[in-house]
Amino acid sequence: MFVSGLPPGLLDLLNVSSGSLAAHQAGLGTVAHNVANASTPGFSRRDLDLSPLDPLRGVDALRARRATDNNLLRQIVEQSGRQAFAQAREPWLSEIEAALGDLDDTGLGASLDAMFASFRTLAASPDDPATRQDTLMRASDLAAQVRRAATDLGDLMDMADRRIRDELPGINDSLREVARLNRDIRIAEGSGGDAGDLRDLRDQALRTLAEKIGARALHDSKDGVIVLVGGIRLVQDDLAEKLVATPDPATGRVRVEIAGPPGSDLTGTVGGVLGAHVEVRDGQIPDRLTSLDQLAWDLAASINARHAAGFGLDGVSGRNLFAAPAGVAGAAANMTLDAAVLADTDALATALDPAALPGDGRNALEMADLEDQDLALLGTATLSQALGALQAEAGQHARDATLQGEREADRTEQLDALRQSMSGVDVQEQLLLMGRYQRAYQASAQVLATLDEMLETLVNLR
Amino acid sequence: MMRVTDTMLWDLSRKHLVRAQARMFAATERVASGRKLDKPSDAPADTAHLRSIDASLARLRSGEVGASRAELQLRGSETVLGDIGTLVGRARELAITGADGGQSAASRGAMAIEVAALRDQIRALSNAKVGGVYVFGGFKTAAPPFLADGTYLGDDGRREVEALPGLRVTANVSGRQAFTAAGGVDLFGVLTQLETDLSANDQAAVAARLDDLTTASRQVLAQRVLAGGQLLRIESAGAVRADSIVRLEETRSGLRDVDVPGAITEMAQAQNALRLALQTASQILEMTRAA
Repeated sequence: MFVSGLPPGLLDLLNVSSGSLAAHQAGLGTVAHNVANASTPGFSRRDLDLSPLDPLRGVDALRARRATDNNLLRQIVEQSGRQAFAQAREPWLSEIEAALGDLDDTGLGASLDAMFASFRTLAASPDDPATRQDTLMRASDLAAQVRRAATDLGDLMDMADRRIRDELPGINDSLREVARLNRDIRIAEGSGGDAGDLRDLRDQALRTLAEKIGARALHDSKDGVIVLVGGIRLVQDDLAEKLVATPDPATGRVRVEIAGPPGSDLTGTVGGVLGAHVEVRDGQIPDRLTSLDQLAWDLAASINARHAAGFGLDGVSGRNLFAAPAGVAGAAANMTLDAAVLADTDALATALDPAALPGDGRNALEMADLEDQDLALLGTATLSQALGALQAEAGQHARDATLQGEREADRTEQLDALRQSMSGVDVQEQLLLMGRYQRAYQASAQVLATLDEMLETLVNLR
Repeated sequence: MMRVTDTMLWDLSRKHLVRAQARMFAATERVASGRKLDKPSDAPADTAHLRSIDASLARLRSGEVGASRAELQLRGSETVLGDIGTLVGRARELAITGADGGQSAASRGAMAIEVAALRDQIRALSNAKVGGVYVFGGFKTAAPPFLADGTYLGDDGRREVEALPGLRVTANVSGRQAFTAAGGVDLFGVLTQLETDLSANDQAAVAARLDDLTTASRQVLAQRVLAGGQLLRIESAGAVRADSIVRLEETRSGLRDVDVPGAITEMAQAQNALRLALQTASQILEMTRAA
């Protein structure tokens, strides 16, 4: 086993001991580094690999190894994107729900009921100016509630635009940071240095990018990372694309694009927080708004048709109660009473027969009866049912978003726990290691002292 | 074996603390507001149901307003028709007396004056206004339906209101049927003729008016009975409505309001969970300090 077949010389043993002292000092250094970063987010524990050399040289402290797993990291990055998406949607959907779903007696539903109720009262006293005025106020209140709901939804879309715009500078910073770290890691490791901390920083930046824009990361052959969104590379090597917010020429809504030329529209492919803003703005809100517009259209059209068939106290027929909407789109946002009716309560068409004025309230009853008719959702539901369905749908989406947020948070926690288990710092364990290194250091020092004595003995032999 | 790091312990403890806090908040909110369905996401499936119950309740309550206005007018009409019936009865008594051969021309002349007064009273009553409405004019509610000569300006309009969903009652009785030839005899014409006959001391002609006066009496009574019938319908509709409202309110409360003992129990449980989570957190702090 001995190289020369002879026992090692005393001077060789001196080398072994001093190597051992250095190795265990490095061990203590690793422990110190680990303990210092025990609660640093994204920090990966360093494990020091000690390996025996031949007996002439003793032990060697190899480079401190990062306890990490790229596979797990990729999973965590993707899961972070999903969780950020789910959690960013939650408040949006609650806001949409609030815009539509006031169940109190001040809400949209109560206004609709109050208008139909006022038609019934009007049928009892079509000749009473106060009753006519009250009916107009109810109808006007309903129109105002519908308008407010549509305006609130529109405001939410504008807010989503602003939020998308506001996220981009942070995302661009992170993209540049990953590109810079790609370069720094390559340089550091190319010259044999330790880039562990830089790698931890890059992992954190990747996680941030996943959260903000749903980016995925691939490791390239040179151990750099490529950042992808929807299959498009945003970072490769030390080059990062820049994202810009540009208004869509058709809708005026903000698009997320890669600064050109040639430029590329990423709006439909982004995930994470940005994806949630986009999904809510381009999916959830327009869907609810479409239903609300349809409801407003059906309401105005059916009541107008009935109203136009009746006669006002002035004997005139053919007038609308609600201003005729220009089209289904925008019907809710523009819902108002017809100008003629607003100007004069006599125009309210309570009578069926112009010869039977003013006590004829039959048309008011006819209008009240529209409450029972399936006028909404393509003739399958009453107006009130359609409103209930719209509110229930908004509520269901809000509830689902909350549940999904909780589910994704749980999954993230599980993965984080796995990562912590693999890469985290257990302080007790580090303290044990510290004790071990200390003992080994003391022992090596003792060997050194003994060697010294032996050498002294040898030197003083004469 | 899984390595358990301090960060994991902290994360775990923080997660449970946050959840316990959220649960505590929700439980407190439920107890304080008394509502379990405050916004659609609390129970999306119940939201549409609640909407339909709210609509039904609003509809029932609106029936109450219409019915009470109709009731006011019908009660007024009933009273007026009763008074008119009494006056027609008095005219008939005078006719019976006038038809008696023992009466002098002078007494028939006095009777003629009384009949004229009765006719004027009846006409004034036939133009009665209840709740701001001329009740015997049909749809012509804004002007007195009878002119001084007894010409009827009203129409046959039946003013309907909804007393219950699907049940309509008529808020007026017909002035035309009660007082004009359309209902049998022209009451004002008969009275004028009686006055003329009494003034002329025409015993036979006065006797001949008796049948008409009986008919007139009956046609006034018939409308009074109709008014009473509508009032009964309104009354029974009111009872049904009150029952329906109570029943719907119960269902609504079941959907929307919390079961208070249950909610308080839940709040106590949430409190307990929060206390345990806090205890765990402080124990973890102890442990990591010891290390």
